[in-house]
Amino acid sequence: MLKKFLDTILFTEIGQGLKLTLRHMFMKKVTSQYPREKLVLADGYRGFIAHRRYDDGVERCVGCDLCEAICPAKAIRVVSDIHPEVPDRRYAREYTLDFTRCIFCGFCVVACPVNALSMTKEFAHSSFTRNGLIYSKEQMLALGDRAGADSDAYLKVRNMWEAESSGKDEGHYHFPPISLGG
Amino acid sequence: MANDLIGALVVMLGVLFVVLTMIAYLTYLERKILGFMQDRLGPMEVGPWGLLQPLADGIKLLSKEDIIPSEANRAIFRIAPVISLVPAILAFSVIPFGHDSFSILGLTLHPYIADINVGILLILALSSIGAYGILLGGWASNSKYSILGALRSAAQVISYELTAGMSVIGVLILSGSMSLVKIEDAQSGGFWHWYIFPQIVAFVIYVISGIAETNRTPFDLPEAESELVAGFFTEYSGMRFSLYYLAEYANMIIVSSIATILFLGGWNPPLPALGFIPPVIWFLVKVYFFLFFFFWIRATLPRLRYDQLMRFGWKIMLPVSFANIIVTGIAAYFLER
Repeated sequence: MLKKFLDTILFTEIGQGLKLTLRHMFMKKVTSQYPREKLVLADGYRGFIAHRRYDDGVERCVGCDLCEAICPAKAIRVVSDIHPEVPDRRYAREYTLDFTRCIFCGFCVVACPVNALSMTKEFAHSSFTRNGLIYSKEQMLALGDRAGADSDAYLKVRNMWEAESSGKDEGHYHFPPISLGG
Repeated sequence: MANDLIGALVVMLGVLFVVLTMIAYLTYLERKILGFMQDRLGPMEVGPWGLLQPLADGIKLLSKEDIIPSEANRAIFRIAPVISLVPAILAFSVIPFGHDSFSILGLTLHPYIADINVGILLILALSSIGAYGILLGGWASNSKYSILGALRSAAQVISYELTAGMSVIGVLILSGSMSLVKIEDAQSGGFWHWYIFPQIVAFVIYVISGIAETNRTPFDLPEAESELVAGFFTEYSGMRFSLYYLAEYANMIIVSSIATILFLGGWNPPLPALGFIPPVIWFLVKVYFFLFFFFWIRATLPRLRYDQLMRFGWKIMLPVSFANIIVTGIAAYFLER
């Protein structure tokens, strides 16, 4: 009773609160000054999606439409065709990914049977028009050429996660060094 | 005679310049301190460590469109921020910030604009006028948020001005004067002469009602963002908005200065041996301590509910301040014999 009275007239609880805020004033700050000071992104970061190539420079995409089928945001459009130069090989004559609709879920990367798609660590793409964010296959290939190491790292990390959760030796991503003609 | 007049003008301009700069940088200081207490950095972009932020804010506010709502009472809407700001600035005329007069270029400069024998009364009166600016601005905006904020503000400022005035009376009994210069002189000679010790109750009451009078957290109900958008200045924009803002910060400096003068001995150093540091520095250090305390409280406490605010003001603060006056009066009567 006396203690409660003393606590009230001496503002004990407010004093505790003031102590806490004062202590936080001298703590390390969490702000990072973004454009000048960038955080290191994890290998599993799901940034902009890139098209990948085989080691000899031939694009991996075979135009199978699986990514279009699985895309929950319906951001992908594929028009596949027979390769004009290599017989028995199909490719995507047109491939567009609408990054204004993409939700960066990574399903297309999982669905791709030839590991033609992967996610990079690039995220700061912006445009003044909507068309500027609808990427053609050429743009996505350029992205893959630019951030090839990131896309490899993403697939490797995915592989590791899948292996861990399934108990097998490795996940379903393979990196065949061979090319499929061309 | 002419020299006296010029000297007074120089002091006036100096005080005005210093006060307006202080207000501008108080906004910076507040954002910085609040940020640091919330583990953020605060403004960092404009200039080194964001030091030019107040300048950028000023340019932005000056160049913004001055919108007057179509249903507003235009004349009162225009004049209300001025009514709010002018008394706040005017109150600096009786604040003494140093001890000795000094002379530069043959001009005698006093460390105050005016030493009138009712200084503290003048300040209390001026802060009451400031409430009219808020009330009129809220009413003239013709908006539900504004009128609610203004009504809350009027009720709150009236309740807490009463307790602020009552808490001052104890000091007046002890010092025997209403002149702020004489009150400071009565506290000279070491910190044990300061009135914070015999008047600790009055000091606490004054600080609490000072925070309430300036409409700051935890008593910021007139401008409660979560319920009233911005309270009485919801409809204001551009320079008129910033006039209200300036008035709020000017009032903060006034409240801090009065608390310093009445309870912490004003420009008096805490120990007579520390007298070599100029009195102005001591005064500013104490004022900035109170201003920091304002920000500190804002970073710590949530907003009160309205009925809690009123109950606290009328049922607790007012009786305690009356009791303080009675006890102080009796003690002063018997101790002087």
